[in-house]
This record gives sequence, structure tokens and C-alpha cells, in this order.
Amino acid sequence: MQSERWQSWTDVFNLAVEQPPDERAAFLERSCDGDEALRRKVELLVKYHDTAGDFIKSPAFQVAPELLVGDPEALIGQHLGCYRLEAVAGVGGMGVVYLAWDERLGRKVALKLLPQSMVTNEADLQRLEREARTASALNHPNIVTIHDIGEVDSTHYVATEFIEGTTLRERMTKGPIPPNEAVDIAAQVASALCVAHRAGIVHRDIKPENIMLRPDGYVKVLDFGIAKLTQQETLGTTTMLRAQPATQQSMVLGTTRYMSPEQAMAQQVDARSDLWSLGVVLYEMLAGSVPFEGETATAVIAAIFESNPQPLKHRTPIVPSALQTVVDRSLRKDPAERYQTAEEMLSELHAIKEKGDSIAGRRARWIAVAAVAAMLVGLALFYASRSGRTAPTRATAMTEKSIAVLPFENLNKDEEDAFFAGGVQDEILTDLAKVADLKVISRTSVMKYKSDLERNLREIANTLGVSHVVEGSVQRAGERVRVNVQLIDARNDAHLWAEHYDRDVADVFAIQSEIAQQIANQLRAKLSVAEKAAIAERPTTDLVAYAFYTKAKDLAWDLAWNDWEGAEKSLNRKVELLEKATQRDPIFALAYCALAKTQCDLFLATGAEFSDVSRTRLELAKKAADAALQIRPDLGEAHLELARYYFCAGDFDRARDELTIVRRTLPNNSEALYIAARIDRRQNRWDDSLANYQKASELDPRNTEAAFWYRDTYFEMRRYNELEQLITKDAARGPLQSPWTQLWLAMIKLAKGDPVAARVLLAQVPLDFGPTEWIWETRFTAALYLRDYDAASRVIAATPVKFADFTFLGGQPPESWADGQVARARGDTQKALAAFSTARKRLDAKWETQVKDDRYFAQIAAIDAGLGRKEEAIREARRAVELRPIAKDSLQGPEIATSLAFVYAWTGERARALEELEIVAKIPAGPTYGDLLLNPRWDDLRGDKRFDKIVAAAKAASR
Amino acid sequence: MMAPASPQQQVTQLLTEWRSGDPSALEKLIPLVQPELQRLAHHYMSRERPGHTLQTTALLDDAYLQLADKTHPHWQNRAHFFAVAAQLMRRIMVDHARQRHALKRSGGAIRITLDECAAVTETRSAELLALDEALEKLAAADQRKARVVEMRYFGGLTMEEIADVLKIHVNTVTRDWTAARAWLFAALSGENMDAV
Repeated sequence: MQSERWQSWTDVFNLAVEQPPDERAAFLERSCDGDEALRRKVELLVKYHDTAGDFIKSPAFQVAPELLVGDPEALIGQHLGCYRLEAVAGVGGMGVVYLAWDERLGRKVALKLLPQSMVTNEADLQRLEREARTASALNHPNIVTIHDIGEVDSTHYVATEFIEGTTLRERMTKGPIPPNEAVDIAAQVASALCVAHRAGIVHRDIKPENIMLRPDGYVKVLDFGIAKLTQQETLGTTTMLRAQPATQQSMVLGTTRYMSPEQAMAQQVDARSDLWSLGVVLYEMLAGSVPFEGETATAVIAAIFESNPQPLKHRTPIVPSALQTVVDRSLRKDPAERYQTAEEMLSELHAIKEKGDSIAGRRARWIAVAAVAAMLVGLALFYASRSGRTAPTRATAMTEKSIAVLPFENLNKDEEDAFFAGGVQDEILTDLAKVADLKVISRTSVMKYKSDLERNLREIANTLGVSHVVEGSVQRAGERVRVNVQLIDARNDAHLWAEHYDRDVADVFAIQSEIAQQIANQLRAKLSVAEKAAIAERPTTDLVAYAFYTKAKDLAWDLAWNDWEGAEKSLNRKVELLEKATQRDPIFALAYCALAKTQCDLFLATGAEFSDVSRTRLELAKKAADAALQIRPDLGEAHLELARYYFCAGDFDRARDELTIVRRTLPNNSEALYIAARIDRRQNRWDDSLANYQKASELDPRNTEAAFWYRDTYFEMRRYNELEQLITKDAARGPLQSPWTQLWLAMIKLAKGDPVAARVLLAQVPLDFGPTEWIWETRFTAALYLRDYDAASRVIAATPVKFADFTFLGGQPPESWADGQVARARGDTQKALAAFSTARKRLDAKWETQVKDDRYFAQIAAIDAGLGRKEEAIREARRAVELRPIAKDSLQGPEIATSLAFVYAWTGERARALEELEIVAKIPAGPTYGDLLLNPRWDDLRGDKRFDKIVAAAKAASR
Repeated sequence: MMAPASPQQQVTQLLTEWRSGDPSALEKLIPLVQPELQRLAHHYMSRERPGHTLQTTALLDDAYLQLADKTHPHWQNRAHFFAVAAQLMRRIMVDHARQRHALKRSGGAIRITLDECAAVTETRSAELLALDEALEKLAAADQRKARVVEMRYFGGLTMEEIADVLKIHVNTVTRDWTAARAWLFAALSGENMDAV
């Protein structure tokens, strides 16, 4: 019906416009024949016809040709969601890649925009997004991290890590690659494939365009997980890549050359297909051209199926036969004859690499590192000028007046005198650290760079965030000592100052002071009168006492994780030496300070339990600190030790008072900042805590323990995104590396309620990585969240005995607290009760000789709840909260309160449980969103709307 | 495995299928033709001298010659190829316009440059999107008119060429064009065309 009206409408309209304007009205009267609606409409359209001007007179392409061509440059400066497009990074077959700035997280990313017409099938898109999400859980130095996938107004995008460097393709245009380098590149790609394949992801598009070479030697593989989003399936179908500006032909050819036979046949591909493609890449790197060539795609495919590639030695003279073997094996037509796993191929490549590792290759890398540093500075300027914001790179944080005093070389053959060199370095460092106008790196961090190892000063300086370093050597010969020292500007290797001392041993203090003074002058640091005096001061006049003191300080005290016994032995020896020092010189204040610190370390090393033994330790620490203060009431180090004592004793307010004094007198002291940070966490000043950790990490960048607690603080605060950023930023160069990276990321995933991704990450942590019980706890938790009880039981069984106690509250499997949890979740009441009974007995036995504190009560309450002993459980849990309420301890208080909540939950006191949870779900150190969402221990509360709200609140509090 | 047809053979084959009435052939055609068009557009853009207008049909002619199988030239296929190309051009341009529009809107970034061209493009993007939407509405009520507009505005085909593709008289094409143009202008000027 309507179309008929339309036709008549069109005819009337056309006739009307043919009439002279003044006759139109009359014409319409006649032809519309009383149809008012028709007349009005035609009148309207005639009006618009008259005023249309040259509306769509010219074809679109003439009017807006840039829209046909699609000028990628035009989008620069625009935003897509939270990303600001900064520059075009590359134009490839799959759309344009931009360098973009993520305004939310403050980092650069590579942003790939996928045109809408490319992403056609909804089901395909979802499947591919899922795959990309799994890929984004891959964390490996050779895999480009996928940060984000999304869509804004039908424009789909993928945001990945931005890589500085060139593609392998660009590199190859300069000619064939030397075998050593080729093997290294292939090995890194293979390494990436190991991880991806283990996670079930096949890349499907390994080729030189997808392999990036960073100037520092790292190889990054692009497009994992999204290779299929834009990939052409095979030649047979007609979904093709957009070519811009290369022709469709060359794009097709480009991908075809690297396809495995099964890929070209559009059959199922698996890991071995990727290994074929890697074989092709390896061949091309060595020979300078691909093994299978042809004029058209068809010809190439034919070659892939039928021909055998030319032996490498015909193309290039210097290829080891082992390499030819690797290439041959990867290019077997039958996948069953190739390497079956990436690991196989990788180990072969490693074997070849080891044989041929040349110094030339290594040198190139060192030089390249400097180039990266320079580039970072350049980039920082780039960002500063673009947006008035400084990029968070180390380069910008480096000031002129920053310095690291590296361990001196000990030229004495005699081991006995080895400590002496350490003493000289330490004194110089300590002296310089007193200058507020200088940034001086803490001892803990510099000690990582022992003098006997090959040191690259530029890299060290870059890692530590300083512009200058001090190197030196010490030789003691009888009553003489020779000291060589030099001050170097690490940015350009300029030697600013050097001196040679040859004096009596008795003058060593004068030497140290002089050196410190000279260095401060060279760096043009402002020195106050007090600072000058502090530098000139001698720690003691007794050389024998000083020897004891220095020996004690030199003892390796870096508390290895959970190596309690080793630490205790070492610390006791320290006490011995320091006591000898104070006996020799009763006014050796610094020795008393070192003694106080050692006593506190012992207190902490022995589990910090309030037994009689440990209480005594603390008292000894106080005694030593007081002694030091008596001798020198204004000594910063003494106040630091007093602060430390108070912290250990739990008197936080006094500790903070002391720390205020310390900060004035010891401006570069990172320990004071750590203690402050730890106190802050417990007194609900979380932001201050972070700030202190941040400052401390600038002064002590290689301190692994501190780095750990810093990250832990972010975690407790539920600031997962920032933590993730910190983790990945430091993954390559920070103090905590893989597998810590994976462990942290896994914990974040669990907290965010994604145990699947957590599991993928945990699989990348080797089973023998065991510095801490956290790893086992995390594995257990992941299994629990997934309700994979078999896996959970396996984890318990596999946990090393030394941790089982700590983590799983005693008992050997299957009768530990953890076993009880699993059994209860499964509904196996009998087993649960048996496990809980055993756990209870063990717990009581453990605490028999100790004063029961809040930890005991929380734990026993949980067990009693599991045993169904309602009254006792609630009483005990309440007692725990009484002893450590949140108001008193914002770090552990919430955990105790959470135990109360779940004791309520398990004993049927639903309303009370919810009451407690409402408080802790939002605050730092409370239960994570993931825990509330997935942990079976909260099952009794599920289904209640109030609980749902609590879960949502926890989610909202996470960021 | 049978060796796959060359792209040119595929294009010709698909054109024939489409002419015979298989609508799915069009879907398959578009991606094949797309890259060539873009390449040529680039080529034309770089050769353009100021004041020299781009000839759309010359562009399409070239594209057709590139892609169609040289062993079987068909007049009828050429016209249909052009019709496909018109759809294609529309889709590509709307895609790009959408992208620009999305970027502009979602950031609220203030353009610092006083680049007149850029500002103009932004306006054109918005207009193009509005036109595209209006054209969709028109197609719902009168498909033939929409196709005429598409071929004329996006493909640059002459009235005769359009008549040939649609197999109608050239006068009908002209009348359709005039009416559709007024209708679209009204729509873009804010008139509620649902009532019409």
C-alpha cells in the first residue's frame, strides 16, 4: 500500500517542480484532489528541493576524499576512550597502530584500531575476545602484553604494551643476520611460544612483521591472541586483510610464505604449526630470503607442499650444521616429524647458542642499553612537551646530585683483611648519606654489585636512578693502607675526580672523611656546618675495635626468605663481634647502635613471638640503644635504633617521635622510611605508608624485601591496577623478577575474582620456587575458588613440610586445617571433623609454652567453628578481636575481624556475620572481592541480598 | 586440494553470480575489491594537483581493469562492478567517518591546531554519518531510490549507467534521484520523515 502512495507522491512531486514556481500551488490543488496529507508533504519536499543548493550534487569521493583513503594522521590528538592518540606507529594489513597515552594509568601503549567492517561476525568476535583475554594473562618478557580490548562507538581496539625498536622485517632489509644473533632471536621467540602453548594459545601468524627487536636485546612477539581477529583464514575463503597502501596481492603473499602446510590447507593448526613458521623465520634470517617462494600465492603454496628448501650453506657460508638440523626439523611437511613442543626446539637453540656465544654479541647489548637510557630521556621530553606531564621514567627522576658508592675492590689476597675494603666503602657511603643535598643510594642496594663481577656502570646507575658512581680499591699491607678512589659520571663515563692515598692505617678515618668531602664538593652539594662536622667525625679511635665493628657489618645479613636458622647463626656471630668492639672502646657509639639493630633483627628472625627469650632480646636492644644515646644524645643512628626498638615492642607513637629526629639527621636513610611505612600501615595512614615506601624505594631500589612490602601495601589497599602497573614495569629490571611477577599477578587475579587467569599465571611459577609460603597458599586459594577440590588436596600434599605448619595450621595431610576446609566445602562432614580435631590438638600443643595472643584465638576459633563448638568458637573469636581491634591495628585487625565474621557464618549466626563483613569488605586489609565472591567458606551466606551488597561493595572498593 | 582461484577469477565469478541474483556474492566481492580501491585512491590523491578534481569513474575504471579477469571482459559485469564499488565506497567512507566521530566525541579533546582542513573533515564526517543514517531510512521505504542515491553519490555513476544496472528507463532514474535528494535534504534539515 505504502509504495503505491510513494509512487504517486514521487510523480506528483516531479511534476510540481517542473511547474513555474507561481503556478505550483494551483497545480498541487488540482493533482492532490483533496488529499491534504499528500499536498502538504509534496509542498514540504518541493520547498527543500528549492533550497537544496548543491546538496550531494558531487560524488562523495570528490568532496571528502580523505574519508575514502582514511588518513591515519588525522586522528592524532584525539581520544578513544581513555587513550590519547599521540602518533602513528605503523600501518599494516590489520589497520593502523598508534602510539597512544593511557590517561587512566599514565603509560604509553600501542593502540590498534580495527575498522568496523573487519569485525563482522558477532559469534566470532566473542570467541576471539575470549581468546585474547586468555592471551592477556600471559606474562613473559618475550610476549607483548595485551593491556586492554574494547570498543567505542563501533570502533574496536586493542591496547598493548608499546615496544621501542624495529620489526625483524626492518632489520632484515639490511641483509642477513649473523648466526649468533639469529639463534638468539629464534630462542626468544621459542621461549614465548613455550608459555603460550602451555596456556593453550597458538599464535598462527609468526612472521618477521610480528617480531619486534628492542634495542636492549629483548625480542617481543606481537599479536598473540589477536592474530585471529584480523587474520585471513586461508586463501580459499575470501575474508582478506585490508591493504593500505600495499596491494592485496602482496599482503596475501606476505602471510602465505610463513604458513605451514596444514595452515595452507585450512586444517586445524596446533603448536607445531607455529614451530614451522618459526623455522621459516630462522631460515630467512640466515639465508636472506624465504625457503618457499613464488610469483603468486598459489605458487608459494605449491612450493610449501612440494619443494625442499635450498640448504643454508648454499646461501650463506657460516652456518653451523647444528642450525641446519634445527631448520630442517622444523620444516618437515608432516607435523609429526617436527619438534613436538616449543621446549624441544628451545633447548636445541640454547645448546647451539652456548657454543657460539660471542663477546661481540654481548658488547652490542651493553651499548644498546645506553641507547635505551638516552631514549628514555628523549621520550620523557617528548611527553613533557606534548602534554605538560612528565613521563614516569627513571631518567627524569635522576638529579645531578645523586650518587651510588659501589663496593670497593679488595686487593688483599688475605681473606682476613677482606672486610677492610668493605669498611672503607661503608664509611664513605655513610658520610655522604648525611648530606641532605645529595641523594645517596642505600647500602642494601649497592651491595648487590660486588666488585669481582663485571660491572656496567651505566646500567647500574640507570637501575639505581643515579647520575654518579664511586668506585675504588683498598689494599692493606701491614701498617700501611692504599686507597684508590674515583668519581664517575655514569651518564657519559666521564671521570670527574680520582685520588690515590698511601698512608698509615691509623689515618684511614681521615682518608674516608676527605674522600667524602671531596665528592660532595665535586657534586657541588650544599654542606651545612653540622654536616661538615658529621663527615669529619671519627667513629672510634681504637683500630682494633673498629676492625671488630667492620667485620660485624660485613657479615652477610641479608635475611634470606625463611632461612631462619642461617640468619640466627649469622646474627649471633655479629653480636659477638660487636660486643668485643664495645669492650675495646666503651664510647664507640656506632657499635652500640649496630648491636641494638642486631638484637632487633634476632627478635624478628625468631618469629617475633613473645616468648621469654624474645622479650629478653628486645630488652638488650633497648639497652644498647640507650647506651649509644648516652654517649651521643644527638646521634641519628641512635635514634633510629630506638625507633626500631619501639616499633618491635609495639609502641608506635614513640617510634614515630624518634623517626622525626632521624629524618632530620639522616636524610638518606631508607630504613627510617621503612619503619615509618610499616607503622603507618598499622595506624590507618595507608597513603602515607605508600608515600614512605615510594621514597624508600628511590633510595634503596634493589632491596627485595622492601619492594615486597611496598607491593603488599598496594595490595592491601585494593589498588590492583596500580600494583599491576608497578609489577609489569619492573618485570624486566626491578628487584623482584619472574616468577615473582607471575605470583603477584596471580594474587591480583584472585583478588579480582579471576581464578582461571590466576591458574594460568601460577602454572608459570616453577614448583621448586619456594622462598615463601605465599606461593603455596596462593595455589591452594586458586584451587579453592575454582572449587577444584582434588587440585586443592594435591596442593596441600605437595606443600613442603616447613611451610605446611605455617600455612595450613599444622597437621600432616590429610588432617590439617586446610584439609578440613576442603572436606567441609565438599560436604564430607566426617572427614572435616577428623581434620579439625587433629588441627586443634596440634595448635594447642604449639602454643602450650607461649602466652596466647590474638593469632591463637583467631585460629582456635576457626577450628572450633569447624568442629561445631559454637559457644567456644564465638567466645574465642571475640577475644581475638578484643586483643587486636581494627582501631588499634589497621593491618592485622581487619583479618581478625574477618575470622570473626566467618566463625559467625559457620556457626549459623548469619546476621552477625554480615554485620562484620559490611565493615571489613571495603577497608584496606579486609577480605578481597575475589575471596567474598568465590571462597567456599562464605557459602553459608550466599543467597542473602545483604551478602550480595557486601560483595558488590568489595568490588567497588577495588581499583 | 584444489588450487584456489586467482583473485581476478574470483571477482569475475562473483560478479556473474551477483548478476544472476545471488546476494551473498556481493558480501564476498567487497573484501576482494576493497584493497585495490584504496590503493588506487592513494595513488590518485598523491597525483592530484590543486584545483584538479578527482574523477571517481576514472578511479573505478582503473580498479575494474585491475581486478576483472582480462580474459573475459563483460560490459554488463562492468556496470555491476561499479554498483558494487559504490556500496564499497560508501562502507569505507562511513567506517572512517565513524572512527573519526567516535574519537572526537569520546575524548572531548580541544583541537589545538587551526587546521582548516581537519575541521572541515570533522564536519564532513558528521554529515556523512547523518546522510548514511537517512539513506538507511529511505531504503526502508523505497529501496530503489536509495540504490540510485548510493550509486550516484558514492559511486559517481551517470544516470545512464545506473539505468543499465537497475534495468529501468533513464528518466525514471532522474525522477528517483530528484525526489530522493529532496527527501534526504529534508531529513538532514531536521524534518521528521517517518510521517512522510
